[in-house]
Amino acid sequence: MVNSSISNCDRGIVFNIQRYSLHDGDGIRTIVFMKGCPLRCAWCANPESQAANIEVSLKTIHCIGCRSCEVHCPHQAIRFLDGKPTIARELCTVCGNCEQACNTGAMSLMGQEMTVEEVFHQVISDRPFFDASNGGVTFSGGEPLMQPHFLKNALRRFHEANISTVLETCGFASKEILESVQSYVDTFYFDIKLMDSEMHKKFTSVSNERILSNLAYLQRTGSRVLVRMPFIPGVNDSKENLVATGMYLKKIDIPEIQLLPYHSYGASKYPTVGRAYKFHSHVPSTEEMENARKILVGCGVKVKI
Amino acid sequence: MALTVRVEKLKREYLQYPKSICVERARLITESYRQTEGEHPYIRRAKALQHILENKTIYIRDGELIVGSQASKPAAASVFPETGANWVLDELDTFATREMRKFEISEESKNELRQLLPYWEHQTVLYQSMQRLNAETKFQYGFKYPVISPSLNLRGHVGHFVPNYGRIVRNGFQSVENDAKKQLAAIDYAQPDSLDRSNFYQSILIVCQAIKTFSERYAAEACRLAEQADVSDSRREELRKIAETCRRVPYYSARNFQEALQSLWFIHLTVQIEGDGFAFSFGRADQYLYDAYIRDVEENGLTNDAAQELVDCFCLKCNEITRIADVPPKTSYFGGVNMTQNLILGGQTPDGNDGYNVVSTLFLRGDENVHMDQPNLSIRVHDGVRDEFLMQAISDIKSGGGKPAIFNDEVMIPSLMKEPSVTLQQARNYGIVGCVEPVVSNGTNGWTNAAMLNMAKCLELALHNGVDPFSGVQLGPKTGTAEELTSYDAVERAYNYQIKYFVKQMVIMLNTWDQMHGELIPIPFMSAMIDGCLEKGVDVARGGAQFNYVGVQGVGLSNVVDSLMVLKKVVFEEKKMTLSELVEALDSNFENNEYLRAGLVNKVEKYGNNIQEVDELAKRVADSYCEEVSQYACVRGGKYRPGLFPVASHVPLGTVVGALPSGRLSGTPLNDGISPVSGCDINGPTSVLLSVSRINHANATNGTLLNMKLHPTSLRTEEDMRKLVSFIHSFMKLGLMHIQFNVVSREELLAAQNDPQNHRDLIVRVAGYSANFVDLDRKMQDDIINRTEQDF
Repeated sequence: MVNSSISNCDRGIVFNIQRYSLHDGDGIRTIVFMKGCPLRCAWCANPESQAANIEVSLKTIHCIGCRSCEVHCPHQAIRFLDGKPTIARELCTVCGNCEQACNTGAMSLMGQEMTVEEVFHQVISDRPFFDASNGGVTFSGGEPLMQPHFLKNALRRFHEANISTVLETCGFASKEILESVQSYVDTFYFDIKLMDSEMHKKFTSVSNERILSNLAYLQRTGSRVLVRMPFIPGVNDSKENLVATGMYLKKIDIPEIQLLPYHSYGASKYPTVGRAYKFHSHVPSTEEMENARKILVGCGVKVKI
Repeated sequence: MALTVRVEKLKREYLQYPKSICVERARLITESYRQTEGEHPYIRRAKALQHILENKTIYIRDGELIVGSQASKPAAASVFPETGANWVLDELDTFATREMRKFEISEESKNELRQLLPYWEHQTVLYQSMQRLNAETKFQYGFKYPVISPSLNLRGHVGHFVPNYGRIVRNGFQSVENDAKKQLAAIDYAQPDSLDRSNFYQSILIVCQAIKTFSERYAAEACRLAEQADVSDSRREELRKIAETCRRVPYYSARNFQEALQSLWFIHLTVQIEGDGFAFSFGRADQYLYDAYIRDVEENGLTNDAAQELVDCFCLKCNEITRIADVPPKTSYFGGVNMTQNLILGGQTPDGNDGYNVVSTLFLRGDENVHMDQPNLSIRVHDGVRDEFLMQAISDIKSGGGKPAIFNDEVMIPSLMKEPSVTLQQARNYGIVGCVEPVVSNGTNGWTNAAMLNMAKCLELALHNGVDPFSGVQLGPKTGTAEELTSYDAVERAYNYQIKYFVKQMVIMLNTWDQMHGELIPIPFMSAMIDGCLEKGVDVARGGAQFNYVGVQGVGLSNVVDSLMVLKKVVFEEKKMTLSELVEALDSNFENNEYLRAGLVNKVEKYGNNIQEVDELAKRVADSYCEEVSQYACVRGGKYRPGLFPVASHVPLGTVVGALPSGRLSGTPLNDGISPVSGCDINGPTSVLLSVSRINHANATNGTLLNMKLHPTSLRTEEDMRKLVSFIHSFMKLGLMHIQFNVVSREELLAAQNDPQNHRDLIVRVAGYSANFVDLDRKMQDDIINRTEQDF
């Protein structure tokens, strides 16, 4: 369940601010990626976003083997094997000494505490691009609703400055939290994964009832909601699931869904946070995408790919 | 419409011809010069061109619609002894064997050149200039690790014009001839300049007849081919049309689109038979070709497909222009043979309307269809630019190759008007020379790529009390040892003093070259097409143009800025090491000190990331160069104009600069124009624009260059392309002069795999996904690279 790890509502944990983003809302956008997610989707492309706390990220590709991190770690959590560093994460307190000591960026802290004003200041410099393109800020993650107070304040800050706001969400949050941000979000990019709740739980670690009811709620109460579904062969590409998805969207009056073809670009980021990518699927072919489109269209839903 | 079978075949065949050296021009000009000894240089040059045009070999290739070639056979490069006699002789035996830019040459040709070239040895610009240079400047010129690279206009003709081609297309050379006759008849021989003036007008009359004879020879050749028994009926028809066209233009006005393009091709070709300069540029071809196009559509029903094929043939022709690559020591800045024939589309008309028209579209498509490096296509944008035009341009950008470059009228026009004598109408009618240099079309002799000044080398000298660390030689003024430079301000002052000294040395060199060009090799054919010359009766090489400049480029701006920032932070604010310690690390090229180097690269803020302190330093460094240059005058009666772009020189210029405080290793390339150092702009394209916008672009009157890489994932869909349109609108509003987008190629992604530190700016753009390309593992990178190929 959503449970903010940060008590001070003016500070949030952000792990990246990415500019000139083109595929996360209208126009040219700046994405604020926030730490923490209540789901554990097996295919997750941003594994560094899942844990709510700040973590040490290790990109061995940039390591020059100077061992300065090892020297500066007060907990002996870093050991060099075959010239490359490894982290004993159970010993790591995320003190940040290794990041300080590392000159190449191989050791870095994934996540940074920022105030609303700091985030606002960093994003607002892109205003000329927002103005020219009808773009704005997008909160993504992770699941931004995991940090509800910060998110609400940040959204309000942008909203009051007339910057368009997009929230990318998996929809897994309490209705109170959703309500608290709703009026400051211009567009929700709402991800759904699977209609069968058991299967949903199997692949994402949570069941989907709350997600689906939140989607229906947002639609019913007049928010602009764009639904997206990662299209993952072997997970949610069955005719049964697609028909159920189409029927449900039709039922709650959502006219369109965007299918995001599965990619495995996240795989190589798993080791940076000390994990392994165990999921297997494949990039769907044009034919597979087309079949899915036909099924959904057959249910009366428009499909964007 | 893709390439037609005809153009596809012409392109394929052309690419198969081996590059070779043609002696014919050298033979003809020598014959002529031997006959005209003692005559006025204007007349000698005009008669030489006439002799070449009357006697050179001509041919028409099967399938060609636009005809006319530089040398005696395809892919051959002519020899220009008046500029190249000394170095061509030196390099004669290596043309065919060298690694880069080989040219085949027969023993017979070599022997003939050995006979011909000694005649020229003492009358080239190179030889005569060296005779006149003072000892100090001569030393700077000849030094092995030079700060200034001014050889382009010393070892070849100057080029770099946007002539009044429009006048010739519309009115023909006949109109020039009439003007010259009137002026000649009106000369008062009691006036002190009358002798030069009368010789000038006579030289114009000679070249007007010479170009007429030249095109008529092609008409005769087309007729001859049409009479051959084995010619198909359709080709016979085409050849008759070609013959009719060549009888008409460029001496008379063009009446239809084919005549207009043929006229343009003949004059542009002849310019490059007269001189071997780079960057003879077309200017605003869509503006001056439009009347003939629309007339052809209305009167003859010219179809879009037929017009497109003609434009495609024309674009292909532009790639046939070549020159013997002078491959001097690697320390010289220009090793390439890109002819940089700029052709610019769209932009404001002189009365302030939008100039985009159907012909603009034909050229954008033509460039995309032909997909070769010439013409060097550009577009102009302004507040009223249409998105439809930008979308067509982005389609060409997406096809790869970095074209078209984009220029901002909203900055260019006020920048040109800083010169009081330039009117608003003239400024609005600007064209681009070569890569990025703005000039008033039709009437400028801008010498826009006269020299490169290595700003990074100046910083290196400032850190070494003027001593070149490669050789130990005292190259620049003594501005203080590392121990003596005890504050950041002292370092910046020392750097500025080095700049001051070398700018002056550069001016002395270029004024010498300029003087010798005027004396030795006037260019009457070009003078016939540059506004001002006919009115004044003065050749363009001697100041006849309405506007005269010398444009000189500062190279390495971002390297200097990033380095000064390191000195300021690490040495003087944080006091992590002394200046002497840092200089010692530089002198060893960070040997066994990768840790220090990585820290300087990664832990000190860099230009290009929208960080005010760094960007303001960049503005100051740019301004100090620009202001230093702007105070000098050139021998043709104009000013020096500063530019901040490198052509391709940032690579060779980097070879003479040792390690820098920014963490750049010895000998590696410098940055490209005002672009951030490769891999240091880690905050995305919007931050790059914001940083670059802090530089005062209008001060760099000879042009700036911003190169921006786009990962292919950011131009996949039409929606992506529309977002780039918005980005271009922001570029305009932020007051930048020039931007060029390169869709990163497969090769560059492969390079990034091997050199991640220099490619940290490549962001993979996929919905909801956060990653830099270089952070991914090899397998994933391979996957993206393979996908990149599929998408395009």
